[in-house]
Amino acid sequence: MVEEMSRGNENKSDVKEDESASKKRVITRDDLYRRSSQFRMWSYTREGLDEQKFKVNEKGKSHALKEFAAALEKIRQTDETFNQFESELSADKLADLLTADEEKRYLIFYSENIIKLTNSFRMPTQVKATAMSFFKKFYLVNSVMEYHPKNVLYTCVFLAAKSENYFMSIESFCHPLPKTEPKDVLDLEFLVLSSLKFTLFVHHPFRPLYGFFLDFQTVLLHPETAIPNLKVEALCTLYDAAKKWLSEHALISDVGFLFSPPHIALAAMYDTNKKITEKYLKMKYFVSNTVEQKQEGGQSDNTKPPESEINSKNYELLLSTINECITLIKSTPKTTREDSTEIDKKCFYALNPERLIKKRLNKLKTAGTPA
Amino acid sequence: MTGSASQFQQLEKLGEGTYATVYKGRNRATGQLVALKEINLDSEEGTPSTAIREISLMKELEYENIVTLYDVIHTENKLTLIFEYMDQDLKRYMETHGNQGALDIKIVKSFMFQLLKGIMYCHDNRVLHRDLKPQNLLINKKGELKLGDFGLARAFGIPFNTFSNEVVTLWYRAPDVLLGSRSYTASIDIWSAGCIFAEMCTGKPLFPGTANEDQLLKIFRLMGTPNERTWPGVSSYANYKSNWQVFVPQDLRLLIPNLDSLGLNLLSSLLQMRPDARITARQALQHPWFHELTNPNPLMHHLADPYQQQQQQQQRPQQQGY
Repeated sequence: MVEEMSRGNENKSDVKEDESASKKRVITRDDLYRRSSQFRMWSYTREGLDEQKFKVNEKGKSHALKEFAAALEKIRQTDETFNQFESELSADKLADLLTADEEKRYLIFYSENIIKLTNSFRMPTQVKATAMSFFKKFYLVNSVMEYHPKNVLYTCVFLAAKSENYFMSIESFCHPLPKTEPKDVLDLEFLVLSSLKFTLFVHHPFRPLYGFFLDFQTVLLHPETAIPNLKVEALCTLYDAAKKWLSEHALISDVGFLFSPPHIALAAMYDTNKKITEKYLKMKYFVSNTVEQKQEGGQSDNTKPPESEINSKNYELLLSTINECITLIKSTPKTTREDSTEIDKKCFYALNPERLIKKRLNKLKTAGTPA
Repeated sequence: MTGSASQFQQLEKLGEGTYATVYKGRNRATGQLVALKEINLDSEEGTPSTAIREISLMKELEYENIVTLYDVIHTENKLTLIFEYMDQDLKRYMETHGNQGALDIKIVKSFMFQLLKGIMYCHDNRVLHRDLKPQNLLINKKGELKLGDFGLARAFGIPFNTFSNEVVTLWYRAPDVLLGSRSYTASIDIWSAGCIFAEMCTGKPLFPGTANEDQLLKIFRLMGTPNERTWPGVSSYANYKSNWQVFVPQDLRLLIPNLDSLGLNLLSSLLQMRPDARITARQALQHPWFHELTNPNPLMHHLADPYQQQQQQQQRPQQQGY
């Protein structure tokens, strides 16, 4: 698996070329991942992801402005004092919409709520991670100025539970949720499903992490220990810490859109214990790999650079991908409650322009007729 | 992109699936025939988890031997999955095209090859179908066979605990599952493929059991009653009994006289009692019985292509365009 990984997640253009070659080879796990809807439909470059978020924010703003105009029209027709204050009630003066950055910070706040909610239900990690993925994907298609994240969040968690075979009745799901009826959750199911383009199968880094844990044991402990005094307990500690690292840091970030699950798993291990992970990767690239390649290939091609050179290049590439992944995960900003309350107000009025206009109108009325 | 319900004209009912009703339908704009799988939305649960699972897996499986999911449509209290239209399921096909249900061996070979290709694709993608039976295998006029109804399918990779053993229609259920195994592996689909193979040759279900115990005994009667010597570990299964009547394995040749010895060899590789002794789909596809399909000799082409013969027999205009 490691050997295939140097290619990274971003160079999608390679896939077509690889396909004819892959027919003859045994299907690798990497090929399988490239077939998945996650890779085909939900993998981005960093620029691509930012662009998508920007587009969604623009879409949200134009939706909010349309709603604002409709609300204004409605009030014009029902409130006789409207004309008097019309100049003060334009969208330019009133509507205060979320910027792309605010939308991003707002969503991080709600992402944290997903973790709290799934923890309170004691849901398995798989459900938690899938719910997070659904929620993040939903807001890569829709803006918070179109659909408020609160109920969308609940629906994502409920759907993720079903999708991951974690059975829970809608009653017991809604019971602990404040002011939430089954209908509120279920009514959004189709909206969420179709926003996800019905792709519900999510690949998480937890399974590759377990795979690496097993392979670390094989590579580093057998036939002899590759690091002096390395014990299996140290690898268990590394595995547990990396798992925690994934839940605490990776889940809330956007790395799922940018890197493949094994990359993220390795990033977790590397950041948890650089020494052991580095040794493992070196063993894979410079020791065991050569054996496998000899078995596979046989004839050596003189036009290609020597194997060791390719391996060094791939090793460096993988390390830089891992480091990029770690940096990205760790730079995910935390959104404070105050910060979020501020944005929340904006979002509320973006979704309920009538309330915003009426509030302003009442203020103007009590202040008296303009001169 | 999501279509609307009015886009499709609902035609006759095709059947009842595990959790839904299936209708034939026509796309009003293009004339394309489709299968409409209607699922009632439950006010208790919303979208049923079987539907969620089926949609989830079908979106990952795009292959010539797996029926294609085109779209999902939502109307007030129903969810409709729009599938590629197939003319018949294998059960109906055997009834209408077979000699008292038994199919020509050339057609059996073609169908088995396609069935195993579909299974291999699923297993490569870490998906178990778990409910393979003639009703879930769909056939079109081109003689193509595709796997359908993934309502009970599961992704695997991590051993999962099953919540019930109500998977796989009894007749096609593997002995290890009947014995109470909870760690399902790809081999359960292979057993089903073996049962379907025999049924296509004879026109009769191989093991038409009425209940769990009866199903096991029908299998033992033909394959022999397992013991610790023939199947190490068999006695540790939950449903194992030490006082079963002892049967010795029978010769499959007597049961299926029209199948040549290579075919019988493949069949017995599929119908191994021990799950770990069962051949994989990939290995089965390389079995010499399929060599005429995998390495077609151009001189033999008219013999090796069952679709052409079949179409000539039918003399029906073929529907094109979808």
